[in-house]
Amino acid sequence: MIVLGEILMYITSYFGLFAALFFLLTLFENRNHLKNPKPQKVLPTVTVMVPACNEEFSLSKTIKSLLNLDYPKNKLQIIIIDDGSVDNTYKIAKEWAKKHKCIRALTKPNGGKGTALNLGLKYTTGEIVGCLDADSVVDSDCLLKMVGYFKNKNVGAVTPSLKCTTPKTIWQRIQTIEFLLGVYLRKVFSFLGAIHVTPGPFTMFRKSFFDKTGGYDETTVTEDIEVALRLQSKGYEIENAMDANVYAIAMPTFLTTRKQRVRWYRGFLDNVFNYKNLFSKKYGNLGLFVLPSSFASIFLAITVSFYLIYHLAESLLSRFTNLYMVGFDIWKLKWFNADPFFINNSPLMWLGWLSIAMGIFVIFFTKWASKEKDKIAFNYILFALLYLPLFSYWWIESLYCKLAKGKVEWKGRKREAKELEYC
Amino acid sequence: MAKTKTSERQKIQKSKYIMVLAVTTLIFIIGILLGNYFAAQKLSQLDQLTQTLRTDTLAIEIQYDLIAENPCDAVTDTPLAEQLYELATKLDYMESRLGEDDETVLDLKEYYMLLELRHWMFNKKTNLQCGDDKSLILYFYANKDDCPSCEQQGFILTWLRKNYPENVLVYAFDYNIENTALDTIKTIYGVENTPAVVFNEQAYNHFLTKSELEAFTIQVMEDAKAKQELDTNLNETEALKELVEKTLQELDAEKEANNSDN
Repeated sequence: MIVLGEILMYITSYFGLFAALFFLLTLFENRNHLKNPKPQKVLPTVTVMVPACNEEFSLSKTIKSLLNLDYPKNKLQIIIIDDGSVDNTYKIAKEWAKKHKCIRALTKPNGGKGTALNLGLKYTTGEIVGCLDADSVVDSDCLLKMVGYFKNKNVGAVTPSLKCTTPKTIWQRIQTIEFLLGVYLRKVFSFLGAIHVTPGPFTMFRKSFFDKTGGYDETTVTEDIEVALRLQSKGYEIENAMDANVYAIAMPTFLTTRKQRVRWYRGFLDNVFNYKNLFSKKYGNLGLFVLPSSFASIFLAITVSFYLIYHLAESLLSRFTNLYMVGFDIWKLKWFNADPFFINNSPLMWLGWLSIAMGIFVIFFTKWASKEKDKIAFNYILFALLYLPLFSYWWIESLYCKLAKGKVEWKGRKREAKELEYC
Repeated sequence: MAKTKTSERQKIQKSKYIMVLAVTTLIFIIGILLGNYFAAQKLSQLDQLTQTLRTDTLAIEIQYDLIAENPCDAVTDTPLAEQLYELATKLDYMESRLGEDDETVLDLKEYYMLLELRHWMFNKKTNLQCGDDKSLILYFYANKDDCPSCEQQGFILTWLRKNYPENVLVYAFDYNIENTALDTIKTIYGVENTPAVVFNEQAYNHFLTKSELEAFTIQVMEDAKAKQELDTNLNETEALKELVEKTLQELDAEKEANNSDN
């Protein structure tokens, strides 16, 4: 068990180190391309769709942030699509539409986010179209930073930098780092032509892409992954504006986070299975390295978590039994040995320290490059301690659901006012 | 728009992949070399410690033999016992790091066991000759797979040692190490399995709880105290006897003197 475990740890470290170095090198190669291109002299028209299901508490905040966008109002269209809410969402949407010419409010029976967005697409007038979930807000300069990329005719989509609003619970704190890591990876993937998730909040698409290839897939639970894979398979390029900040509310509790991740991961599995032709030499970095790596990392994360948890549990149990055997009379025992002899400097320990150092570098580089203002050191510690087992747990449940063919649905949910207090 | 060939960005740059692979391998090799270097350093440190202990043991034995009068008062071995424990802890640590089959660790362990035996024999002698109240414990253990309760037994013995630092000495032996000296000890005391404890000559081929071991230790201390009291009493009786005889003699002498005067 120990030997097998060590071999596994070595394989994981080797793979992890390779991927980390590869990504860092990619970033270094493209260090002069981190800046966004200047926007067009004649700005394109943009439509932002806001699908909303039971979002009466947060919708107005989202609309206000859209109206606050640094973009000519005559070039901006906002469509609020109420997806069969049972609260006052549609009423609020209509009030906004009355006050502003550029806002349009639509309603339909509940049918899922994909159906809401497809309805919105029918009314879209912009050359560029995107959506913003009704629990998210954008920085005012966000859109201007993104549109410049569309000067390149091959670009089908531009992803923003998706972040969490200031976290309150430990689950949200962990997610802030997860999101920051996502910001970094998305930039690196854009340099490799390998973005395979276009985040729901505020990714901007060329409208002609939908005209040519059809609207959103209404059958999937993660339309953001489906669209990205479709763009890739049709040969469009996907860009990323690293400092175009969009803020979403991270799930506040263990259970809500778990539910969201299981939905995402299952969606990822379903969609990757549907687009399995992407695993090919034709798609270069994406097909031969990035997509296979994401599967390898799931497998390695799960096995390493099991190994580490087994180790930890065994050592805790044996410590507890020892203490029990002496009736917890511990006062004369020595607990800490300051002798440098006992400093662990095995190869795995060195590699462990190296990976922590690289992790810190990546997170703080991303914080700097994406102009993040929040303090994140404490969140990083939480992330380093808890993310791996959480990630593994979510994936195990997702794989189980996938194999058991359980159904995951997105119907929105009735938010409680007190839940928003967290955010 | 839609294209069929790989885009510029997606193109696999073979040289980049090979370079990263090379750097990763290099970092890995450096990591392994560094790890091995430090392990070797630690082993040589242990070797040095073993040599020092060997010299010190010899010195204390000679010192004991040299001092003809009251060797019991002059010789103290407490720091030596502490060094032995330190060496044991470090050996344990290296064993967990390098595995049970590491040749260097095995050699060091065997040598350490002989040092332990020597220390034990010395203490046995002083215990007997100086009337000490020390509990000398030989403890036989094996690895976790062969002996699941050995870890707990070891922990209890450490607890005992720390709680009775003046009275308890524990010598731990790996049951499976083949060594003639150790085999002899096993045969003499009838040690047959693990965990096994030889407490002042009495072998127990089973797990001993904290209260059992503590009771044994206290018993040894009380016995030694009783013996000491008995000795004192005996000495006092002797002295009294002498005094009485002396007084009688004096009386006799006085009597004789009186008689001659008369």
